Amino acid sequence: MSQPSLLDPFALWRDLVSKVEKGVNEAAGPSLGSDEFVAAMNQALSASVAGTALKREMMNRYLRTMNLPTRSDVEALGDRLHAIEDRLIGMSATLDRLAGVRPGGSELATVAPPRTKRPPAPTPDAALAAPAAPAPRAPRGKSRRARP
Amino acid sequence: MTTDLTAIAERIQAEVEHAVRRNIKGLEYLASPGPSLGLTPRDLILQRGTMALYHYRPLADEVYRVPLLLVMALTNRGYILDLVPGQSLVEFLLRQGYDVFMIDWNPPRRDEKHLRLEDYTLDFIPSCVSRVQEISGEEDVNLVGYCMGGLLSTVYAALHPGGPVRNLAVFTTPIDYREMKLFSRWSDKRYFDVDRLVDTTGNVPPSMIFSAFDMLRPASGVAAKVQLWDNLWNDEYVKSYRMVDRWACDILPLPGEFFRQTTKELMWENRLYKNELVIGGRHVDLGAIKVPLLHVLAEHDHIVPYAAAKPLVAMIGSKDKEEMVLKGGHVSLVAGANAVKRLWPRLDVWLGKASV
Repeated sequence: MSQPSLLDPFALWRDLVSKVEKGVNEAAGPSLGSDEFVAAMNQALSASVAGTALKREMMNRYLRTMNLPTRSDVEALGDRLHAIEDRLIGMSATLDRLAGVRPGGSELATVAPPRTKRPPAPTPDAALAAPAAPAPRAPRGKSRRARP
Repeated sequence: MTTDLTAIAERIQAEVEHAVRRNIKGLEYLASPGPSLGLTPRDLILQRGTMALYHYRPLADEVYRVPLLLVMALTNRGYILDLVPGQSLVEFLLRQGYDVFMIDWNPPRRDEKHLRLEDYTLDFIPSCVSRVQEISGEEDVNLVGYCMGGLLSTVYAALHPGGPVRNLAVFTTPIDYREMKLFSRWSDKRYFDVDRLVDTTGNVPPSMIFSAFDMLRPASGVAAKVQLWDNLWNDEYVKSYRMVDRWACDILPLPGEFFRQTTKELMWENRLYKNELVIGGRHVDLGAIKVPLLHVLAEHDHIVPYAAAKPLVAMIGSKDKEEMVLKGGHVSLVAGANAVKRLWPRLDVWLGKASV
């Protein structure tokens, strides 16, 4: 990568952001994998899970006292509805199949193109001429985060 | 010296223009809805709970004989392979003459927390393959899996060596879980009580999965936002950012038992790599896979590092097998401008020969 000109503060700023990102990510790796961090992270996770379970139990008791449906009751209803929906989808698909109709509504025979295609004869292509990466280097590059 | 001053003046003028446009576009960004993704016409042809099988409508007058079944990762939505016209792998494949199906996953319901690898590889994928055979009228099926979808496809192919998979292509598929460095450390059995987590939550919440992905590169989230602000004047950048950001945040919960099983058997015991994985009482022997294989890896993949994915080709029993390492990261391997010129044409060449 070319160095940004010292006379261009905007390019310097962008370069700085990239370098800080890379530096922090690389420096954080060993810390994030240390025993101390892993132990602390999992303790926090356990506490969070236990807290969630406790809150849920307390809310369930309150709702039962008030003779109101709990989250579990609503989810159980949702499960029943989903099961009915699945059955309906299955029945609809079976009926479509028997009628020779695609699920989208168009007739099977009229939309299926012939399965006769052959691959084109190999020709030198600019896109294909671009070499594959020879071998991986140290992990870096784009994050799973959005970065077009 | 005069030239330098002129260049600096022009640069400042451009930056001022960008600043003005950034403010206007910034308001538009906040006020406008996210982009619509995954719009290539398709029909839902099979659905059972979390599993959904789609058939894309053909865009070519003539298609290859062998249908193509894409298997998506369990934690993410399939529209990463079908962003918008011109940036859709699915659209590209359809225009190249493939008959494309996709197994996409809905969020698992509460009563699906018991799902395990057995359910995916001995029930869901076989059911979808049967439906693809029925719709296409063809016995053979080509299978393409992405990330965890690649793992499911590979295990399925190993458990069904007699077919009907004709060719197998997988992208960034983890095999050696010791090499998933940070994930492996975070799930260290000395500290991580997976039983307690799954017993309490049922399905593993997407927020936890998102946090784990995000922590792999802790500075990248902030840097991405800074770069977005810097490029707010650029419509193309903003459009691309929003597409990928929407997908990256659209994480699915994982079925609790699946998470427990993969944590214990893959992450802790590394059974797939040690050739000791047993699914539904059947040994998963990757050496039993004899069909042609293409494994595509990303050079800068920080989610599934090269070392974690590399053993696949060596362990597969096929004579016709190929490893392809391309520049890019875990996501930019399959989607975005780089994928259009790197992966897609190569995949087309490999699949074209394999689809007649």
